[in-house]
Amino acid sequence: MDRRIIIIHPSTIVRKGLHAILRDSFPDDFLLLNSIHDLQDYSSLNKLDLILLVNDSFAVEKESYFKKLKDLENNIFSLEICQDKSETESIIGLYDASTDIVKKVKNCIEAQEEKSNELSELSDREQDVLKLVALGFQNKEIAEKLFISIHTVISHRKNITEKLGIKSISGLTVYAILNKLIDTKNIDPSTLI
Amino acid sequence: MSHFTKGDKLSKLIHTNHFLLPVINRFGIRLGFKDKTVYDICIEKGINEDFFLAIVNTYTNKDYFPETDLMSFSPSLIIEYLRKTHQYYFEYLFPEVERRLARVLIGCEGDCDDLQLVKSFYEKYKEELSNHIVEEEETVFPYVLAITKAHENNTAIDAKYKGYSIKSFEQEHTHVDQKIYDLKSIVIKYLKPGYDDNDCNSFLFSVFQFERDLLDHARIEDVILTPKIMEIEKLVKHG
Repeated sequence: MDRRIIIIHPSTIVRKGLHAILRDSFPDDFLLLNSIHDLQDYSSLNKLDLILLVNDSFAVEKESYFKKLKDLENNIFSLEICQDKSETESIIGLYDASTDIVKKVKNCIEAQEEKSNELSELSDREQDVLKLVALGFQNKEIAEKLFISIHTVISHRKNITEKLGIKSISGLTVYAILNKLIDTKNIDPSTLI
Repeated sequence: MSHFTKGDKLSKLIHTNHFLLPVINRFGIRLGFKDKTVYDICIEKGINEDFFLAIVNTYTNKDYFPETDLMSFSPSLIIEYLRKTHQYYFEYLFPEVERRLARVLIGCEGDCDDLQLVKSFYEKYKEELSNHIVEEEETVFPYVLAITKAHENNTAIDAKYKGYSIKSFEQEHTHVDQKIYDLKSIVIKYLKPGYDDNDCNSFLFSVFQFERDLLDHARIEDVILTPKIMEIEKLVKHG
């Protein structure tokens, strides 16, 4: 996934300063914004890893923007910028040493990467749902068979797609057959796809 | 990222992005263009220069969005170009992907169940994409040409297009693009070893190229064709 580092702070000096400190360690594209509300002009931000350094004055508004960015299939990593020096990992202080700032951003990215690696295996329940999807059942039927709500089925399907990188039903069916989740002894696999 | 301008040499375009080769072919430009610039070649071949730049820039930079004053060319040029890309899919890309997949299958040891599944998936995909293309050729393109003509001649559009709008054709794309991504994912992540590496890579390369061309095709429709037609739709009366 492509990455963008977005620095949001009302002070030009701070924005450009952070950019100067980080650009040597991170070859990514940077976006420097005056206010969190400027994010709404960037509809091209989708399917990206976004590292957001946000001034603490936007603490309230940022959540709704993060949600919008997540809906556009971005991964969000965020760090707060505060006025003082900060010992906390996820907060960058204006008086932090530049090496500490680089380290904090690196840690933030690594933590998120580990999290996304954990995701790759399907849980038992997700496998159950996937089997039924592959056999051609609709969400409502799957919910009834597994005694769960449709909402839960949808949420499982979303996670399956994220983990496997496969979206279409026929693609998921191929995965299920390849991994022997469904028994194809008595059916011609190509009829399922 | 900067974009190409009319003063750029054609050779620079290709060195920057060699995927443009089939794109320039669609304009009738063939290799051996020496030091000719975009401007030179467009004059020589009678190509609308703004249109040429809009196409090569969209193809090279996914964030590129042509400015309004560079969009003065007729939508019929876009249709002509899109038809050529369709032709390219049927005459070259589909057969090429199939030749390469066939080669992987020939070299495969064991029962090759995995690859047969990939093949079935591909065939299903090809069928869907072909239907989508036929739909464009038979429904969308004639509509675009009709409304363009009505606009240029200042007449009303034929009553049979009542209720049509370019927006309503849009959704189909995401669906078609998604499956070629799935095809890649399956081969990259989940195929079991047992085939010739080089043959399989070569198959994947062709799928990547196909995907790239398809995404570009969709982008041209979304950022160039659709906005233009939406403007025209505001101006043309239905007969």
